[in-house]
Amino acid sequence: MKRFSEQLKKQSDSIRLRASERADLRERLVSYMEYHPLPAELQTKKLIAKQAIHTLLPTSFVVWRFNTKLFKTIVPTCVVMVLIAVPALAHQAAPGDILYPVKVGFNEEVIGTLAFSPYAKIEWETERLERRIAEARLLASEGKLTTEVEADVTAAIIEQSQKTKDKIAELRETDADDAAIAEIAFASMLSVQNEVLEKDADNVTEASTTPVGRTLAGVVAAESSAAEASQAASAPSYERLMARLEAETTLAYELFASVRAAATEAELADVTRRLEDVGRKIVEASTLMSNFETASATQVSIENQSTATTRAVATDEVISDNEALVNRANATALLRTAMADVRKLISFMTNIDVRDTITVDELVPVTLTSDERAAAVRLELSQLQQTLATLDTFDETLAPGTFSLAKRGLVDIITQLETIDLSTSLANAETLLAQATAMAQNALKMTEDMSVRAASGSADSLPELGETSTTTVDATATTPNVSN
Amino acid sequence: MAVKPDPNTNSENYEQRFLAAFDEYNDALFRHACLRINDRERAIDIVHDTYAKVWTYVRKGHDIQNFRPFLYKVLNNLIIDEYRKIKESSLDAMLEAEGVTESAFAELSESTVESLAATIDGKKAFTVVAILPDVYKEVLLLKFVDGLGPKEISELIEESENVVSVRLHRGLKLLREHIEAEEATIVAKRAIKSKKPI
Repeated sequence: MKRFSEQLKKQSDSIRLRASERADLRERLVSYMEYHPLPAELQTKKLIAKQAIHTLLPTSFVVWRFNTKLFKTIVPTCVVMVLIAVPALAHQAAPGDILYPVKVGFNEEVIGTLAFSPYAKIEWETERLERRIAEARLLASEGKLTTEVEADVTAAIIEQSQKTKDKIAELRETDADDAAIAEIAFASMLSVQNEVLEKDADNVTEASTTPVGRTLAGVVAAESSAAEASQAASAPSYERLMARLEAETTLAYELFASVRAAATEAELADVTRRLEDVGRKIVEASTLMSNFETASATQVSIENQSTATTRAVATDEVISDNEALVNRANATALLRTAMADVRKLISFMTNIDVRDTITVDELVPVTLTSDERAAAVRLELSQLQQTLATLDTFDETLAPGTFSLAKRGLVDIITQLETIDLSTSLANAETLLAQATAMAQNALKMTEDMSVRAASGSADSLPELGETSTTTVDATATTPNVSN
Repeated sequence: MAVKPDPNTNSENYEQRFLAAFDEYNDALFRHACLRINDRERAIDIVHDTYAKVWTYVRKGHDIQNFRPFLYKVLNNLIIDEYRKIKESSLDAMLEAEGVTESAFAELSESTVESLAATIDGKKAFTVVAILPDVYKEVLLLKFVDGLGPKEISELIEESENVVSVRLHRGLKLLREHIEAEEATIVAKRAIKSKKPI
């Protein structure tokens, strides 16, 4: 009988519910139980919750029986993996890595979502563009920037740049000042990256087989030029620019304090000097602006006075409208420069690869103070005087009339420079000095040519002033007016 | 089989135990129903109705200690209802038609059933069990497929153990006859085939 029973049972075991049938049946039964629940005295909250879980789950997940303990362990682990571990690993990913799409498509998008103001969003997009360029440089340094990869990376950079520009254009519709300031920051970042890429190109030697691609460098250069032109055309208000600059300088000083321990003394001195330069520009802009405000206030008070006589007298005492407007424009221009400098300094301090490639002097040249400029003027003046003494030793009979004219012009300028008050007319002195230096160089060139001709016995006429030099200055021209 | 629940028992157990009983016995119940009525879709419905009825019983506050016999009992009743729906002759009528009174088989013991079963090929039995009358099919499946003992079967079908034994014996005998008839048919067919000119 055992054999009969075993055989019959074995055959019967082939009759089973299919998985889908079993799942449907279970679902029907659970639904039935839900519609016909246990009496209140037999129910517990926990039971109801369990029923809800079973009924909410889609059929495909109810095909097999849940091990709730395992479920409770696995689900939080998966959530932690997906939301924390994977994005954390993806943070360091470079183009071509498996997790790179997670970095660009998830991590960065999430960070972008956390930026609430439109300006903050543009700042983030600008930083993303900076990241794309940095990634390209990283690939190049590792020899992974093949033609195909470069094309992809370049396309990503163009796309990101366009995205940033679109956001700036969008912001301009609602807040032109913030858009203009964002453009300055955008242009500054591109300028820094352009400098870095140019330096990379300069550093390429024959031994280096993987320079940053020319296409990439070209694209960044073009984007930088376009951004520079665009930001120059925009006109943020002085007040908004000043407010933003205060925030940026605060950030710069905080960064400076954080990198102070790791920086060399020379680097510290360089950055300190640039930050001081920025501070001076802000003070200068404030002074110009206060002059403008004073002028405006005075103008209003004059307009309020009724008698024409009083107006005529008072008008002579105030700065003209045009001059006041120039002061305001100059103040804004100074702040724009300061803003660009601060952004570049922040890039320099935050990006190791930028620091490793270029010096701060290449990025943000020193802005001389008035005293330094005056000292430079005095030094160049003394050099000019020496040049004049050299020219005096030359036999003017060998030279044409133009040489005498040039020399006389030079003497006139030097005389003016010797008497000029550098504390009030520094800019004019620098202009005069530039002209005098050019004239002196031309005159020296003429003397050299004449000496050569005299030695060769040629009596041909000497070239006119300026013909032998790329720098031409009209020696006969009236010397500039140095009056204030 | 079913008792009133202890109010101090964690009521969450009702739900858990009921669903556990579903997971454990759904296949066996389905198999039994499927073999009894030869209709897969209908068998699924009957299994569902079985569990629904048991759940209703649980809702009334009964605590089922052992689900298996209870489920089989309900399933069996539903299958009998199903037969009644299709107007099959009643069990009594069928027995009467055979000219048998169940008391006449009281002397049949378990050992005679076993010795009879030993003469039958289980694989072949599976192919012909469906054509047996349900009274025999019922006890045969409960015993040989579902593994229930005579006492359990007798409680389930509400008959004495002797009646169960008689039905088992008769069922097996009938099964063997059907198998032999089929084998005879096959042999005859082969003989006819072999006689055909090539």
